[in-house]
Amino acid sequence: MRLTVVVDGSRTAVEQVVKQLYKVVEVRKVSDLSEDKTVERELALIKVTSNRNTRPEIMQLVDIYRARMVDIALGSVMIEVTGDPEKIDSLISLLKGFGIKELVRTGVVAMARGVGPKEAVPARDGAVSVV
Amino acid sequence: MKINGARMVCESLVAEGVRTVFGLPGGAIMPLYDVLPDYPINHVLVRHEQGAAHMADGYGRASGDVGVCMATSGPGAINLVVGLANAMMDSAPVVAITANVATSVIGSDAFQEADITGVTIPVTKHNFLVRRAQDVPPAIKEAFHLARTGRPGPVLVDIPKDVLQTEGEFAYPTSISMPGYNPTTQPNTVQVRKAARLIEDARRPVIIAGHGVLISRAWDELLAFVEKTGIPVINTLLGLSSFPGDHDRFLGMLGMHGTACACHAVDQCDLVMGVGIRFDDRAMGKYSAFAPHAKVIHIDIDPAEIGKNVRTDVPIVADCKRALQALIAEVGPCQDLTPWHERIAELKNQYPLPKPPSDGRLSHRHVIQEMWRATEGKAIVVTDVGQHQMFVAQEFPFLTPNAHISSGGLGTMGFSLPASIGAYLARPDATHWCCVGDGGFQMTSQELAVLKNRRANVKIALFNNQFLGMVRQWQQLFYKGNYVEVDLSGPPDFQKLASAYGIPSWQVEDPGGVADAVREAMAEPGPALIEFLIDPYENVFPMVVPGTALSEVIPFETHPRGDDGQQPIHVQPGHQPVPLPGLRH
Repeated sequence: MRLTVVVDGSRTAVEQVVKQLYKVVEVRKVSDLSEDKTVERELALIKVTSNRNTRPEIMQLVDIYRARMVDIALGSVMIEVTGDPEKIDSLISLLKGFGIKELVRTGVVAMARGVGPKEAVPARDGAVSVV
Repeated sequence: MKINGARMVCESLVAEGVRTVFGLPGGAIMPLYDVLPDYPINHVLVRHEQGAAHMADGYGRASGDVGVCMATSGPGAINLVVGLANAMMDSAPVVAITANVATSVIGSDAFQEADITGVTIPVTKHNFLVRRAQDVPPAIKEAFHLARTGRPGPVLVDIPKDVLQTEGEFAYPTSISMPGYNPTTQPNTVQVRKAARLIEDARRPVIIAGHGVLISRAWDELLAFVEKTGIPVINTLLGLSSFPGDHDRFLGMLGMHGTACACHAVDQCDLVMGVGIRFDDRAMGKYSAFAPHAKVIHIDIDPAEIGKNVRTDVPIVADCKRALQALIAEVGPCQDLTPWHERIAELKNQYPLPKPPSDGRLSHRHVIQEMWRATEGKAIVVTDVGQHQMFVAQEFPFLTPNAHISSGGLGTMGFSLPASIGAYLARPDATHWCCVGDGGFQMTSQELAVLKNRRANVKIALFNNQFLGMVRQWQQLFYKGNYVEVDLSGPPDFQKLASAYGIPSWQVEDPGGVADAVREAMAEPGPALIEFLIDPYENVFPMVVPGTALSEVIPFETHPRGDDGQQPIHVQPGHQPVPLPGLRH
C-alpha cells in the first residue's frame, strides 16, 4: 500500500516528517518528492445544479477540462474530473456560478517522473509518499 | 501442541526469558491469570496498574532487558498509559500485555471496553491487537524484539478475552519478519572518519553522554575513549552513571539545574560530541545560543533525533557502543588539551555547587551527601520528579554504571516508588535508594504494600518540604511569588502511613540527625522509610532560566535569606522583586 502525504513546512520539518514516518513499524519506504519532478493527480466528483438551459454550458466546461459527466438527473449533473489540484480548483470556481450541491475530492496522489529530458511541469513542494 | 491463547502468552513469555511480570487481574484477563501459576513466572501483584507499568520500566532499565506488565481491559489498560508514555519518552524496554473484551463485542461499548491500541498509538513504539490465537506467539515475539532493539521503548499487545480462550497449535516462531523495522547499529565508516578528524583537531572538545550510553551498555567504551582522548564528559540527566562521577574529566550534569561548570564548558567548547542524547530542551538551554563556537557530532541510534533540535555537522546513526568502538580505533593523536583542562579546572573552582546551609535548616544536600557517604556512591538510586531529583543529580556522583533511574522526559511524579521496586527485583543484590518528594510519594504510595510483601530492600528517602517544591520555586521566580495550590502541608502523617504498611520509619528534622537515620535504615534487612523535613523554601540552583542560554546559568541563589526566615525573591530579568507571602495554613 502506498500513501501520499502532503506536508506544508520548512525543509527541516519535512525531513522530520520523513524520519518520524520511518519510525512507524509498518512503513517500509518513504520518498520525499519535494525535490523531484512529479506528476500529481486528484479526482473530484462534483454535483452541480443544472436545467435544460444551463446543461450545454456545463457540458462545454466539462469538455474543455477533459472531465466527464457521469450522472444526469432532472435538476443536477454529476461531473468527474481528474487532474492536478490547481485544475480542479479552477473547474470548481467556474462551476460555483451554477450552484454546487455536493463536492468530494480524493486528495493528491503523486509519483516522480522517470529520468530523462527535463520536464516543464513544476513540482509542488512537500509531497511525501509513504509505502 | 494445542493450547489456548492464554497458555500461548505464557509459553511465549517463558520463551522470551521472562521471569518476572507486574500486573493486576480483572475480568477480561482472567483466562490468562487462570493458567499463569503453571509457568515459572513470578507475578508481582501491584495495587494500581500505573505501578505495574513503572515497575516494568524500572525493571527494564535496571536489568537491561524487557520489563513486562499486564492489565485487564478498559480501566486496567488505561491505567498503564502514563507508565507507557514514561517508558516511551525515556526509551525504556517494556512489553505490556492487556486483555480486551471478546472480539464479538469490540466496538459496542461493552463493560470495561477501551480501544487501548487506539489510545496508546502515540505513547508506544508499536502495538498489536491480536485477533486470532495463532497470532499470539508472533505478536509477542515481535513485541519483545521491538521493545529491546534499536531505540528501546514500550510495546503493547492487546488480546481479546475469546482469543485467550481459543485453542490453537502452538509453535514459538524462531524468526521474525518486519521489513519496515531494521535499526542501524553499525556506524558508517565515512562519518566515523569525519568525526575522528574533528575530534583530533578540536582544542576545546566536550562529550555530552546520555541515556544511550547506558542502554547500549557502552560505559567501558566511553571511559576508554575518554582515557584515550582526554575529552571532558558531561552527562544529561538520564546519562548519569554512564561515566564515573569521581573521574577527573567529569563535569557533572548539563542543563537547567546542571553544574555551572558544565554549562560554561559547553558554551565555550569548539566541539560537542553528543553520545546517545537527544539534545532535549531542559538540557540545552536556548537552542539558538547553544554551543555557539562548536561543531557538533551526534551519535544516536534513532535517525529522527539527528538534526531535530540542534544543527549537526557529523551525524552517526549507530548503537553507541559500536560507534565508540569505531571511534576509539579511528581517532589518532589529538591536540594538546592541557589549556582546555586548565580552563575547566578554573571553571570547576569558580563554580562549585552551592553549599548546604549551616544554620540548622535541613537541605536536600545534607541528605544526599550523607546517602552518598553511607553507600560509597554505589547504590542504585531511583528518583521521582522535582527538586529532589535535581539535587540527587547534583550531589550523588555515581560510581557504578546504570545506577541512576529517573523519570526524565515525561517527568512523571509517582514514578520512583514503583520503579525502584522493579529495579530491586531486577538487581536484588544491589543497594537501593528511592528518593521521592512528598508530592510524588502520594501519587503511588499504595505500592508500599508491594514493597512490604516482597520485603524489597529499598530505602525510601522522603523529602518532605510540604510543597510541590519545584512548582513553588517557579512561582517564586517567575510568577512574582504568587503561591497557588502548591501547599501540601498537613496530612498525611507519613510515619503512620509507613507503619500502616508495616515499614519501619524515621523522621529527621535537623542536619545532625541525618547520618544516624541513614545508618539505622540501612541496617534494616528490608524496606525502610526516612522522612526528611526539608526547609520548605529551599531552591534548586544552579539554574538556567527557561529561554536563556547555558552561558547565563545562575550558579547560586543571589539573595541571602532575610531575618524573618523567608527567602527574598530572586530577581528575574524584567521581573520586579516581590515580598514573599506567608504560607497559607
